[in-house]
Amino acid sequence: MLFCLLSIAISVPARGYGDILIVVNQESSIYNISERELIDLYMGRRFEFSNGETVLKLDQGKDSDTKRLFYQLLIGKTLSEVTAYWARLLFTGRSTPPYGLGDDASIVNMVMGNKSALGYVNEELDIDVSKVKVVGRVH
Amino acid sequence: MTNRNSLKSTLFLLLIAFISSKVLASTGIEENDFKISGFSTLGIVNAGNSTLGYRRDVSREAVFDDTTFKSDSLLALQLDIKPQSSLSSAIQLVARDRSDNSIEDSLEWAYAKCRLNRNWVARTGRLGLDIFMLSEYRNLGFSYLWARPPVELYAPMGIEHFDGVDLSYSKILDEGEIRLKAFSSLKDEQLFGVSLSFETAKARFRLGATSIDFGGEGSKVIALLKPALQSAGVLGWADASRYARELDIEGKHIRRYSAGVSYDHNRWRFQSELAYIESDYKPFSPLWNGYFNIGYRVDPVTFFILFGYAKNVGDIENASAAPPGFEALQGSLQSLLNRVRADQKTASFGLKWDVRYDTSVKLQADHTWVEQYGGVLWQQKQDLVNDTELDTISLNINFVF
Repeated sequence: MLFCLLSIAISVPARGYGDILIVVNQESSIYNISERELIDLYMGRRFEFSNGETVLKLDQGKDSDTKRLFYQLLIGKTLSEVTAYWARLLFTGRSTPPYGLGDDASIVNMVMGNKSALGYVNEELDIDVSKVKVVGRVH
Repeated sequence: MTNRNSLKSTLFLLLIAFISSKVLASTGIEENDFKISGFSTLGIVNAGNSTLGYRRDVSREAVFDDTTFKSDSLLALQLDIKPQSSLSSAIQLVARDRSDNSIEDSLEWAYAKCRLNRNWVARTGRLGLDIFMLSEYRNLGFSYLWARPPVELYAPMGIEHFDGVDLSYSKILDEGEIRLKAFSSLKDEQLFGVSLSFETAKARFRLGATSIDFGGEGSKVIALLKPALQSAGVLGWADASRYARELDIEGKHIRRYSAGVSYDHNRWRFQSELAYIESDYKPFSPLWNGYFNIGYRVDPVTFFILFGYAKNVGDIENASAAPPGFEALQGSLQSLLNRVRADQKTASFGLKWDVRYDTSVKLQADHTWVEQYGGVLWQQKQDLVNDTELDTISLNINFVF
């Protein structure tokens, strides 16, 4: 039974998506963000932007496809591995995970309303990012 | 019965913590300031034989040729409160089977944490004992591949937390973060240590040194043997007084030195730890222990093999011949000396199936070779006079929430 279930799970194809856009508030003093800095922020090693400004890190819903793609492109980890990584930091008191929201549109709305917010959206979902600032791209 | 009551009380506390979180959440405290989370394992293991009782670590009840849910199953709840960006506190309760169960022991952590600046963090309260790669999350089954942390390295040190302080310094370098940490207990039993770690997105390196006071009188056997040997020394067995002194555990220390490395990239996962433990307590000769693990992921399943090793160096001490009338006491002393050594290795293979982002299923088979008189990691019903081989089969379901 176990191996039947395994074979079914392995055979499910992954959905294809494009690049991930990194977005901040229009009024933010951040104009670009390096991949290194992004990894440090989203892996809980950095608690503020490199210029010292406060950051509110936003994550997508726990099993969202954009989140799956973001972490796969950024650090090569699956959602389970990211959950395991954050569980390790959370349950050892080192850090708490980024604030989780529902989907790409929620991220844009939250970034529009918070000067310190940092988020990511999937470019191919045609989310309107005209009212936020794109400071990076993960591909 | 006491254990069952303690387990019920712990579950009750966990329930109260959970309800409290909902009440506080409804009073307007923001989610970022107050967070309740947890993890659990439902595990079944078949292990042990008629004379060697399997135990996950030396603080657990042993399993003699039986199948049990008690060894690996647990439920943990953690409450994080963050009133300011630089101040936070956390409480973690873990309900699981213990040979010495109590509410106090179920309180895994309860500490206040102060981020002094970008680099320095200080904590005080009940803290996880940071002496392994998996130190502070050895109960968090979802975060590692195996059914449990490798027994050869983790079982000898049953202590998981201490009441004290720690201070850590971390700095982000080009490729990762370096972290130096020092900790000390604030109780009478001396416990202190330092660790140095370096972590990148793919790899982790760790060095550690720790000194731990044995504390208390030692095992019940030692508590019985010591006065008997003292009396025997007066009554005519000249060496008995020396043995009584050597068994006196008070004020004795364990010093542990360790190194660990892990690499996790794309489909491959490697992890290894090696430790050397020495003591000024004569019956415990120095111990080398470690493990090596290789895992390969075929989404969503990671297959792994694991080798563990633990061996006390030196030979078994033979108690000197006793004069007539003291043969039984000499036999008891020799039996104790026969049971304080580790000499075993384990080969394991298994899989971790990530069923979804927060749930995993693990299956693991272990084959262990225990050499003559090398069974200290097991509960021994009698002296292990012959080499023995044992199989352990484990099935776990792990959750985080």
